[in-house]
Amino acid sequence: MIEAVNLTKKFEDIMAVDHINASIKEGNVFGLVGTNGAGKSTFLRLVSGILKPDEGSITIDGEPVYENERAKARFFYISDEQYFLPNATSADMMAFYRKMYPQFDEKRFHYLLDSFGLQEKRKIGTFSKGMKKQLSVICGICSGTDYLFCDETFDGLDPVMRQTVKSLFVGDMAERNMTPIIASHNLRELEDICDHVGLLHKGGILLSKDLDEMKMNIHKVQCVLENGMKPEQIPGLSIIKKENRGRLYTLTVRGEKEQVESAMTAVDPVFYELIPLSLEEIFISETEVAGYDIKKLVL
Amino acid sequence: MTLRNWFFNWMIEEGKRRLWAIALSCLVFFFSLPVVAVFLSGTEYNPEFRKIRFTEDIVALLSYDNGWMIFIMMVLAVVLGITGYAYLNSRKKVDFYHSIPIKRGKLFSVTYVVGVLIVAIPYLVCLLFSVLIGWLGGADGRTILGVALTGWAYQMLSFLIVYTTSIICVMLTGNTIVALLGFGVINGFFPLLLNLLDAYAYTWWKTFWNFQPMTGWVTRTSPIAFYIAGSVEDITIGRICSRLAVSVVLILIAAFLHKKRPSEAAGKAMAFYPSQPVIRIPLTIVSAMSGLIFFHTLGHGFGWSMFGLLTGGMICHCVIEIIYHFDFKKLFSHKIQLAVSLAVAFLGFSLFRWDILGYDSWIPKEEKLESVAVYASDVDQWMDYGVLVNTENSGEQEVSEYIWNWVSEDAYLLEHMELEQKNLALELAKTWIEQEKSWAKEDGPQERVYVEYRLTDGRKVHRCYQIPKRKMSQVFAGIYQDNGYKTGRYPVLSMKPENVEEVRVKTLDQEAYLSDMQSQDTDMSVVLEAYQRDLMLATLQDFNQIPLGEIKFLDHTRVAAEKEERSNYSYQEFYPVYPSFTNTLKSLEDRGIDLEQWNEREIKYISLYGLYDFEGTYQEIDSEWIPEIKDVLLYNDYVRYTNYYYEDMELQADVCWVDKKGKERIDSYYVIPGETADRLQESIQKENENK
Repeated sequence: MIEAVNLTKKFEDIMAVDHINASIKEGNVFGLVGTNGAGKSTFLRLVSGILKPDEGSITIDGEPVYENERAKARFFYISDEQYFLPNATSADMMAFYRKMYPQFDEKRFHYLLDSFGLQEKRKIGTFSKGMKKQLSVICGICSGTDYLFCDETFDGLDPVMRQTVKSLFVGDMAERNMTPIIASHNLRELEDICDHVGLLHKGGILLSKDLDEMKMNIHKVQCVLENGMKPEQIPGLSIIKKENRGRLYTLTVRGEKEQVESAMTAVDPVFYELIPLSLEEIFISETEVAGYDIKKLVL
Repeated sequence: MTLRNWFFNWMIEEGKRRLWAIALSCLVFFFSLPVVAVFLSGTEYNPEFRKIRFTEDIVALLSYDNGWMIFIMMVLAVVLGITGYAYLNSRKKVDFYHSIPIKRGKLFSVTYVVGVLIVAIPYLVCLLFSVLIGWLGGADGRTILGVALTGWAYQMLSFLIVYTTSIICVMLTGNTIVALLGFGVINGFFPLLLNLLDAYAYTWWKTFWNFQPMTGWVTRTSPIAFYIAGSVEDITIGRICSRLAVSVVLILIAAFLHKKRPSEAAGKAMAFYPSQPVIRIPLTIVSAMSGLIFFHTLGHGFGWSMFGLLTGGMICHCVIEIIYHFDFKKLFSHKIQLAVSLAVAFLGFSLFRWDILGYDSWIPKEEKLESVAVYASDVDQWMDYGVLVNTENSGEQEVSEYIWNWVSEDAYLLEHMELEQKNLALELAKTWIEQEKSWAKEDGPQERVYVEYRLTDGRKVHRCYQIPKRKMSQVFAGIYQDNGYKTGRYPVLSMKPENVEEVRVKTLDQEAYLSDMQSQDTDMSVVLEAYQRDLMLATLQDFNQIPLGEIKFLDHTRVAAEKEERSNYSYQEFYPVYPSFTNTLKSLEDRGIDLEQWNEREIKYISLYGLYDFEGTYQEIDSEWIPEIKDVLLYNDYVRYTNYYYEDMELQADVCWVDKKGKERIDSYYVIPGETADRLQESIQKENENK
């Protein structure tokens, strides 16, 4: 488990990461979202041991990361602009990482490279941005580390490749309990892969929750009520947000599915149905409750 | 990974990363050593001295003092130091290298070692290859191998200093260009400051004597100067140890800075915020002081000096602020620090300008004065100091068997002179302090009197007192009479009479060796003793006489050098013989040389021409002047033997006379200032007016 306690990093007078407390469990996909400058990259660089915290600590299974080879051998960091050795080919990078990560899976590297259509002997300098991203993901996956830190990794990948990478992540999570931590400014990218999401804003964690928990506790209800009845009159329904178009109400409500269903059934509406919320909608609701306008924070 | 594994694995990776540097290093050393060795082996030498000269040339090529090698070693040190750690200046690269499971300390050490090996191995290989070429070409193999290996070790030791300094610059900065500027600052700051202090002292301290200037410290304050200085001196254990110690200290500093350097420094101008004022303030002060003296030199006014101080300081401060922030608009940041810097610069100026520390008025207490050396720039300026070197077994033998190597006057006198009456120097200083203001107003040339006070605590303090030349006879007369002055000034007084094997005497048209004279008395030591006696008794006033001739005393080596045709000794170590040197004249006369007779000449005519105020006049004088004027004619080459100053001589004369063989010759003389000279000038003026 990765644990950040009171993690703080300042760049001169700019507070990049402000007393963050977070836990990232193994086998989960942790999504880190926030606008540019929210502190996502800084947080990942702190977790990777690139930056030294000014205050607080960051540990992997209780071991501090900074200047700790054993802790560092447990993750692979893919930065938003990954560096490759000068004039290196994919094969050169493999040779390099093989020395750094003893668990590096060479066979799989060749296989994935072939699957992604990347030439082993071609200079990486001639690759497109997307191809470089693909190569860094392949290197990361094949390194066989417990954690994979991805900083805006999906940015620049086409939708097909994005799905492929996601499926690779899922496969490795299932197979060897790999834990990807993905930083992105795009909620939609994380929606179908993350188990837990942390929302960063101005260096602080605004929200950190399990996606399932969030999804189980928040629902969208579309309903048409009896004449003269208002949604606020429905007993036991905790409404976060309300919209209406004529008699058709769209409500965002807090509570478990059964609880919401029973509340709705009890007032015998003309029509009602529960619609799944997108991650974005969940965040909009959650952050509005917290007094923020999510549209200004992400997307 | 085991220690060996990670080290060598990472070395291989580092080698791959720096392939270009390896290629550059190999290429540079190949063309600088083996190629030159082959070229030298094809050079045509004098067959008699071929082996010696070729060996010397190969030694010069392979030795630690090969200037070109020093230059390329310094360039490589900077290039490898700065590029080796340049990854620290790129966020992308820092993220890459600092996220992989290897400690930064290991990265640092491998990068450091690889940088050294990139130079050490090609250099050594090329050296050995050159030794082989030299040996095959006929050079002394053992000699050149020894020189090559010593040179390699010493150069590498010196290389480490410059290399590590450039690494320290990378650690202190976050940008390669700024690191290069930083390297310039580290190497240039103290030399500039010391030069500046020298210039300030020279400009405003009247008694400042830059015999041992502050710039003497440059070699200890600048890595590049330290490197170069080491190459012009012999290798000693002390020098090796000092280089080792400096290298170790620098490596520890570099490693410490690397450990402390935050990764986020990449791309910034300075890696450590606190270092910003530490660098900017001293630079601003030095720049302000430089501006001040520059404009003082141009404008000679207080206003101009202040203008220089303000502009020099402000421009420097603003440029540094722009670099620190990479933002032009930030040029006036830290205004208070700018004001403090300018104030400190002004304070520095005040120390010199108004001599706040009392430098000029300082005189040591007599009880604290161990000994003292004093000499004047124009008194005894004819002296030659040097060492006669036998060139046997060296390439110089091709030029001459004996070579006279000059020694500077300052070095010789300060080593040999010690006044018997040290209070004479104190009195001179007191007189200067009392008279300085009135003397400064006097027209005419000034004489510099140099004093080295050797204090009881071991310190040596140097002062230079400027005294009007016309006051010298009274101010310096006592010092001249001091036995310590004379024995320190004239090496001939230390010569042992029993060592004299030959005496050479010459005037402007005649010369002779005593051994060639038909004299029954062949004991040359008597002549030396007579001369030593005369010289010890001579007063400063005696130097108003016109010398009758010159004399030199030769021991065994000097005789050999004198007779060696190609030697440059023949014109050295002559001493004047004055009419008052009666003992010398008598001893010479006893051996068949009558210098007074040698000076009797039949003058045919004299042409006068004016100098200074009389410039342009040129005319033959009436013959009735000749008997009177010939007593005040001073042969041009003998002016240096007298107290007369060129500035005082208004008339020069071309004298046509008939030598002993009946041949006419013309020589140039000065007319000694005095009654005769004045009357001559009046006469010329009158004649010119009548025309």
